[in-house]
Amino acid sequence: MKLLFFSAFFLTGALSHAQSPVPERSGNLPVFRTVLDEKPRVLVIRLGSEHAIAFDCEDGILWKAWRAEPGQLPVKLQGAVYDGAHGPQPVSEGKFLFIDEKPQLICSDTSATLQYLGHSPQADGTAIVRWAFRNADHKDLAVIAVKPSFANDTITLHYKLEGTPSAKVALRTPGTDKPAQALSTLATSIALKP
Amino acid sequence: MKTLLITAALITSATADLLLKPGDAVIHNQSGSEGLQFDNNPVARLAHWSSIDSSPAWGIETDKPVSLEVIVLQGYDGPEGNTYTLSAGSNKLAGSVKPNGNWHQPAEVSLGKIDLPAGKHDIRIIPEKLVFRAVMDLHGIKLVGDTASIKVVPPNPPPTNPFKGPGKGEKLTEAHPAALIRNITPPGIDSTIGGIAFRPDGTMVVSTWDYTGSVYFIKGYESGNPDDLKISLFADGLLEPLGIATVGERIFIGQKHELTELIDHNGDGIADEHRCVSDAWPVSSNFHLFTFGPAFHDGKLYLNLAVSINPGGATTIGQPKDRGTTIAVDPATGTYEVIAAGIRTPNGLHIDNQGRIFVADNQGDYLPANKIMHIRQGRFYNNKYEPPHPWSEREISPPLVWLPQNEIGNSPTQPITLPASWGAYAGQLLHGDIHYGGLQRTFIDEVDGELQGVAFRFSGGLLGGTNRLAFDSADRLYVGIAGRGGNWGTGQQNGLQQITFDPAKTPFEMLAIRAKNNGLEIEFTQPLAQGQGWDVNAYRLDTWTYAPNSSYGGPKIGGASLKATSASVSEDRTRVFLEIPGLTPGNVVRTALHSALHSESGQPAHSAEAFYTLNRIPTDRPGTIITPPATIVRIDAITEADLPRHLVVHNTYCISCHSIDGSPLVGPTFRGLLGKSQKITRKDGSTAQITVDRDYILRGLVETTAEYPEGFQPIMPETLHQAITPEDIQAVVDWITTL
Repeated sequence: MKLLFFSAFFLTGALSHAQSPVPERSGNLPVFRTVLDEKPRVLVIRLGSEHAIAFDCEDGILWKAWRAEPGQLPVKLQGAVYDGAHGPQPVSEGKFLFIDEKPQLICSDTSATLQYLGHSPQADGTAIVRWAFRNADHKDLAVIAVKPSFANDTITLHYKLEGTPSAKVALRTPGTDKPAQALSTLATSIALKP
Repeated sequence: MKTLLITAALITSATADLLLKPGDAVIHNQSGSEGLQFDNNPVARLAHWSSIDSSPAWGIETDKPVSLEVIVLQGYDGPEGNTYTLSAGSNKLAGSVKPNGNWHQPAEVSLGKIDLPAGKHDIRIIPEKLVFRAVMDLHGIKLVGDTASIKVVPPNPPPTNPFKGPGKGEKLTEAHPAALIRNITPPGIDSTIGGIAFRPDGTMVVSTWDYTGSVYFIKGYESGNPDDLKISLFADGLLEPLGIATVGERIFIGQKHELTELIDHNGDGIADEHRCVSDAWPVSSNFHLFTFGPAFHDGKLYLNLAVSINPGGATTIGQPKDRGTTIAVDPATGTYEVIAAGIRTPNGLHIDNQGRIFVADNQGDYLPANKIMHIRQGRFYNNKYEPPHPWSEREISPPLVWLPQNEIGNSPTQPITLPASWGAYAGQLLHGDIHYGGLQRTFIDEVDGELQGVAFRFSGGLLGGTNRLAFDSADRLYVGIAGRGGNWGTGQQNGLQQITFDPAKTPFEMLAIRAKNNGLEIEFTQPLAQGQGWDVNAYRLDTWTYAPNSSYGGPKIGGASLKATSASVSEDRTRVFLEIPGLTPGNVVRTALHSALHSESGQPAHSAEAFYTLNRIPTDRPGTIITPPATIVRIDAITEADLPRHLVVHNTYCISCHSIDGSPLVGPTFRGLLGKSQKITRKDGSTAQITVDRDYILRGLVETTAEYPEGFQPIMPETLHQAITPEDIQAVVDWITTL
């Protein structure tokens, strides 16, 4: 009888609290949109515990990569929404990694413009980021999906064309003599140098 | 000889002094735990008189007219300059405090003679000027003369202004009588609410304006019991999501720089894709480029784009294209069209079931007061910037309602149309305010095909700044609380509240005001008491207008009192037509009700002040003037209590940012400011450690951008001194030095 009483008590206690499967979160999320270092429309993806990369959503390029100081966050969140301050916006903090190649997406239909399509969070804490080449009739000619991965101080960007493209897409690396690489499914590794 | 002795005795009696003892005083406005109070150690006196808002009073009663000399027993060891007025019945005597070098041994200071008729009278000392840390130690008041007939009795309460109080001249502090407010703040979501919407199955969708940029699903909210809530995280990592629209099963979010659709492809309750619907408008990194909305209407998603501003509030020179607009986005193509321009910080967007768009906007430069606009295609709403928006040369469209700064608004937020189940208020707009707090109500009056309206306070009693409003399918209203310091914060900074409305408990108050050719017609929620409403002295009316300019905010222009020449009560006593000469189109008309006015059931008005934005005066709907019946209830001719000027200025311009009790607000508290050691940053960027003196306080009012104190933002309005007379500025400075 006594045992039953305690069981009932605990049962009552368990039910009397609202379900709150809201994860405890602090600091930087694994994937988030932000203004960063005075650039709007940036997507930050954290890679491991210290590294982070930032895509320029408007240009479709990997814009920054850096490593936070041990125990520190890669992005200092400051501004009205974060700490009430009017004016400042988030800044990256840590040791910046030199990206010697910033491949750009090019389309066989040169009148098409690159349009950011958003991202899909992934179970591994990263995200698939998408852009499309869109023509003047607002038709997406080709959708490009990019997923980053990180190992051995090397970021690899995995490119993939989704759906049935009606235009050809290639990666070109300005400032180099590398030929443009036609895109269907392509993994491009970018070594990060200290 | 015998006669002579008796006469001598009478003379002795007649000239006996009467001491009004410190311990018998009633103190009004004690002004904190250290304010004016009775102190018996080492001698009986009133001490710690650090605020000129505090005043002691005694009551006396005499059965015959008396003539008395008044002697004030004052102990003071400070510099000369403190002054006060002693009022006794209709007598007023000026007093000054002379230093006598000892707080505990008073000097006797004669103020002169007073003449009092038979009856009860209050004797009150009202400080006027304070140049030191205390007015004086008051050891009593000695009345010299024919005091034999005088009894000391409790004084009356200090005079009150029948046109002031919660709901008229002041915020409402309590909930609307028909509104039951429950706190259902979800556990685990300790954040500012940026958006609220509902899915077809009733699931509430809430976004949070915080570093997580999250969207939650909430079920079990209907009971109003937070223990019943079931919460799940749907998405995060969004940038400042300040609005949600659900369109069937689809969920659209307004991020700071993008309209986004959150898609759950596999139905597991977690967004698998953050799809960019549109980012077709250019942006910069400026912190103020908020996007408000979306609201869905007729296949389009509407958004408001705030302008870029500099820290401090001035509009940035050089704006990205189409800032300060309401736009309509085609979700199929991502393209947008500008609906209206000339908007500043439009943190409130609502489209009603008639397709009418209502947008709230915040005071700033080219925006002399807060307002709610009825947005119409192709119009310009006065807020300008450089280089100008292409529509800025168009005719300026006036707002639906002006919401005068700190009187009935500060940072208005989302409007929403009240449903039929809300009884008499159905069809009216309700809106929140992130800084002023509470809920305000707008009645819409249509004149010549254009909408104008009247704003009323509706409800207090909420947790903090009110940011988002949404009705569930049972017409329960949900209020998202928000705040984040700076200009955005009052009370708690987060929370979710539910309001259930019982129309049977609708209180007596003004329901509507309609413009007439020759005045204004007030509609009440309940009939007035028999005979009431006919006396024009029951209504206090004043008017002013605004002129948008490059200054932050703007003073009222052309302010004037108005007087109704007649008041005509309808047969059912729910309407009063006020015949008002001198109404000016383009002005705001404020109407306040006398506290004596009440309903048939004896209720005073819940909210008794209204701000009518009289853009147009109709020509086709004259008010009907009715001859008053033989017996009407007259309200004594009203003279507004003489509120000290420093309080008038404080209540109008200062109160929302500067406390007087030491509590932190957007700006530094006035309490203890004089003599404080303060680090400041000057206009040229240099810093200094200073001791706050009178000149520093004065500069804070007349050279508002010269410097600002550490720990605060440089957001004082540049043109404040243009709105306040030099005499009032001196009065405020005098007062601050006493706090």
